[in-house]
Formats: sequence, structure tokens, C-alpha cells
Amino acid sequence: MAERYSVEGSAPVGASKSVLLVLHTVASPVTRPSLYDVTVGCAATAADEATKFTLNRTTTAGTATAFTPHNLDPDSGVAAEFASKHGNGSAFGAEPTYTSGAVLLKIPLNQRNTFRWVTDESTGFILPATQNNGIGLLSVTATGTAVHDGHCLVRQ
Amino acid sequence: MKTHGEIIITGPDIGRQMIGTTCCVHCGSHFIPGKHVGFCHKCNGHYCGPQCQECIPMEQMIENIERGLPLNYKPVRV
Repeated sequence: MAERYSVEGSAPVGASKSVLLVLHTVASPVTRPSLYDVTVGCAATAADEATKFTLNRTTTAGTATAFTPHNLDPDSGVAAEFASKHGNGSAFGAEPTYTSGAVLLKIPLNQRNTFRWVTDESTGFILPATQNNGIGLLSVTATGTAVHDGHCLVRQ
Repeated sequence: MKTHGEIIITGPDIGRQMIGTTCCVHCGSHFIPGKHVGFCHKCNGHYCGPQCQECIPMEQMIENIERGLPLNYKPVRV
């Protein structure tokens, strides 16, 4: 049975600012984790600010706070092959490299609203089994700078 | 059109809105079905737009990333 994990992150939005990143960390991964549930929202004071988020493929790890994925089933153990990074309320020190055109989901969102996308685990966004390749939640453009929160469920 | 995912947006002005998404058979992205969607008869499924018109099945595309090949690489089949 597939093992499932929860990852989360938070960071201020802006032009090309990552909120969270899920990526392979081992040199020779053998599994292809997939993202099947994504939630984006903002816990700051309500304001009419608009942000365009994308889920995009990445090829480098970037620099940010490491986040240990939580297992949804206590028997699953730790996530052996993939890891997560997030701004922890601040911007990434170095942004990961996003693959041009590899947009998996576009999320135009008003700050007052909360967005959730969910799919069957079999049609989630697949991470290639290549070290440091992953999928990032990126704010492409924003009219404000409020800290937004992202949350993903990942199947390994 | 068959939907594979669901978008749920909640907010003070809109309440709770739900709309289905379809998975592109070529790039694996999810999109809201619209007029720019096409159908691939080889893959027997919808793709997300003109940029995905060339038939590179998702499994092939993932393998291309893993092998460091161009995203649109297709092996010669005889």
C-alpha cells in the first residue's frame, strides 16, 4: 500500500517567490512520489490582494528551511526518498530552478479566498525519479506581499 | 468530458465553488476543460492545449526527464 505524507509551507508572495517545494533528495531514487492534494490560503488580515500561483516542475533544490514530511499513517515510517522545503514565513534564500512551461496547475487567487485542489492518487502530479527534481508551489505575480500558506499531500 | 480532479474555492463573497479538472494525457497537468482542449486518438484522452498537441505520452515525458533527454523526445519505433 502506498505511503502518504503531509507537507506544508509558508512564505510571502511576490514576483517568482516559492512557498513550498517537494523534491527527491537521494542520489538514485527508485520511486515516483505524486502530489494529489494541494491547499493554498492566507492567514493574514483580510485584504483584496490577488496572487497568481502555479505548481511547476523544478530541477534544483534551492535554499530554504527543510520540512520533514508527516506520515498520515504512523506505520509508514519516515519519507525515505523525498523531502520538502519551505520559507517558514520568509522568502527562499535561493529559489529553485523552475522548468519553463512545465506548469502543472494554475491558481489565480484572491487573498480572501482559500483554494483546494484534490484528485485521485493515480492522477496526481508525478515527481520524476531524479535527484533534486521536484514540484514547487510558486507565486508568479502578486499585488501584495502577505505570507501565504501552502499544504500538499504526497503519495510515495 | 471526464474529470479527474476537483477544485474547491471558498471565500466570503463566493461561498463554496467547485469545478472539475481533467488530467492532460501528455504533460500530466490538470486543467479546467475549455475551448482550447484537444483530443489525442493515440492516447485516447484530452490534452490541455496547443502546446501539448504533439503526442508525447506522460509516461514518456517523465522518462525523458529522468534520462536527461529533451521533453519532446520520442524513441524510434519500427
